[in-house]
Amino acid sequence: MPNVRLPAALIAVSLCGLAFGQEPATSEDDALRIAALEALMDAPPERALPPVRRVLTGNFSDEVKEGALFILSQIEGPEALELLLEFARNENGPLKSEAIQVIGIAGHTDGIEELKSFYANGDAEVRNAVLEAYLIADRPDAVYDLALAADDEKELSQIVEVLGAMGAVRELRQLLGQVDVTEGLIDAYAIAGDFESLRALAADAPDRRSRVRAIEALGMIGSDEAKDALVTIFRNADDRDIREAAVSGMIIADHEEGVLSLYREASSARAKGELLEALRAMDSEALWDLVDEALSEED
Amino acid sequence: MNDEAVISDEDLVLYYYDDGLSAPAKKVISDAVGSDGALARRYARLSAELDALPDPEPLPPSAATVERWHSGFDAISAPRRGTVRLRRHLPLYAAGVAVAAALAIGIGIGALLGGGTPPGSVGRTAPEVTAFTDYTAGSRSRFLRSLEVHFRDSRASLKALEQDSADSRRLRLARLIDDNRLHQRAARQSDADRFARVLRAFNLVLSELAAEDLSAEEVEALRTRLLFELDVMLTKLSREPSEGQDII
Repeated sequence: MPNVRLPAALIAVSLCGLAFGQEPATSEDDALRIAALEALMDAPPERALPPVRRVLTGNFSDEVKEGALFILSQIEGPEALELLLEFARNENGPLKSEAIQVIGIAGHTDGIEELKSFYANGDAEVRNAVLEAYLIADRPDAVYDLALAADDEKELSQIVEVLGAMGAVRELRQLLGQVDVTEGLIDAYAIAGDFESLRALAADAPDRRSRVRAIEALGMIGSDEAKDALVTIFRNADDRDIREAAVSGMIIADHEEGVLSLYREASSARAKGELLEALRAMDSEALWDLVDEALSEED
Repeated sequence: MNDEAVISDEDLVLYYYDDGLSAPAKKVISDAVGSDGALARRYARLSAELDALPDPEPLPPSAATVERWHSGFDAISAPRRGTVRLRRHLPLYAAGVAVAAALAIGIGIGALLGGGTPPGSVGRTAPEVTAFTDYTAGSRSRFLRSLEVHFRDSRASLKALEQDSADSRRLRLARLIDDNRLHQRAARQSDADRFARVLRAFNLVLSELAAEDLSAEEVEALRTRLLFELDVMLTKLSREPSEGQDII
């Protein structure tokens, strides 16, 4: 779409076109209206706000209203914020969620503060939108507060996933000890790249399932220290589940060297067989030499 | 290379591929081909032979390799049973190129990674946005110029999306996400939080675009939306005050 500058009169005409109870626009009409909205970025706030208000309160397609919302996110001033909040409060459905997300883009302190209320009174879609708004506004502290107040594991998992996406390692670590260790929390550490927390959980998680998950999640970190940790975990493992988790982690991390060295160290045929299978899954080029070796030794 | 009498077939091959010749050497050959009929005919024959050569086939990965990488991605992106899935694919939002590079094994990038280079780093240099460590008014101006270039590049990349295969699309989107994240950091360091928020919002849409279960119409709608928002930001950037003026 070209960066077209339209005269104010044309903007007004194109945005008024279907404002009075007619059917929503065709896609060509929408394209013109969206171009007109884009041109509003050249206008000062007092000139831009009235057409935006007209679009948001008028009979325009969702696509045009979404465009207007984004424009609104870039207009400074209390009037723009009030228009945005009013729209978010009164609207329902996807546009409400969109408006909530735009509150995050706009970043006004008062607007961000009101997100708490949207979350408390909203359905699942609205709550999703609030989490996204906090992510956009980079407010891990607010997301952390929601995590502490989560009603159940489902909700907590969703919230901590957002903290993971935000890279909010400090907030995620603060949660440990305050909420149950769940797979969601472990995955969030992996998403956030928090090797230290995963290593601690791999050694000392409150239950076996969490420990196994943490070991596998080290594979997603994929750093050299994570790879070394997986090899060490395998070597020190006292049961099969832990060994398998370590191998899974190494496969995910593509740590072929680690698996190879463990293969060479392994003394039992069973252990060698499991590691050989892992090398096969990793499409290791060293595999065929090892297969030749294994098949060249007669009983 | 001194004159046209010593222009070998090898020189002409290098000239054809525009590879391995200095600028003066290229000019010598170009002038010679233009002025010597016999040389021009020789070059034309050679060009026709080279044109007729088939393109090399990309190395296909094994099914096990593709499965391995997909299982790694699935391990971090699969919704847990009973959770309401967020609209966006937050693991991809967070992991960016590393994950997408894993998925891109299916388009032959695996051959490049055979030497053990970390996923996502092959053939790329990070955009030049890491110099903004100390904020000054000059930093902000430099950052805004860099951001303008980045937004224009992003537009071009999004326009190219419609020709992409599914794997190429995921890799392209993951690279855009990565570049946006770099610019986010620079934005924070340059007192440009507003742009950081927009970049994070863009990344949410990009991670949604990377979903495998989108219809063509949904992809087009998201792409169109992003193109519009990029245009808006480019307009906004063009109105930003230049160095030394008050920051809005």
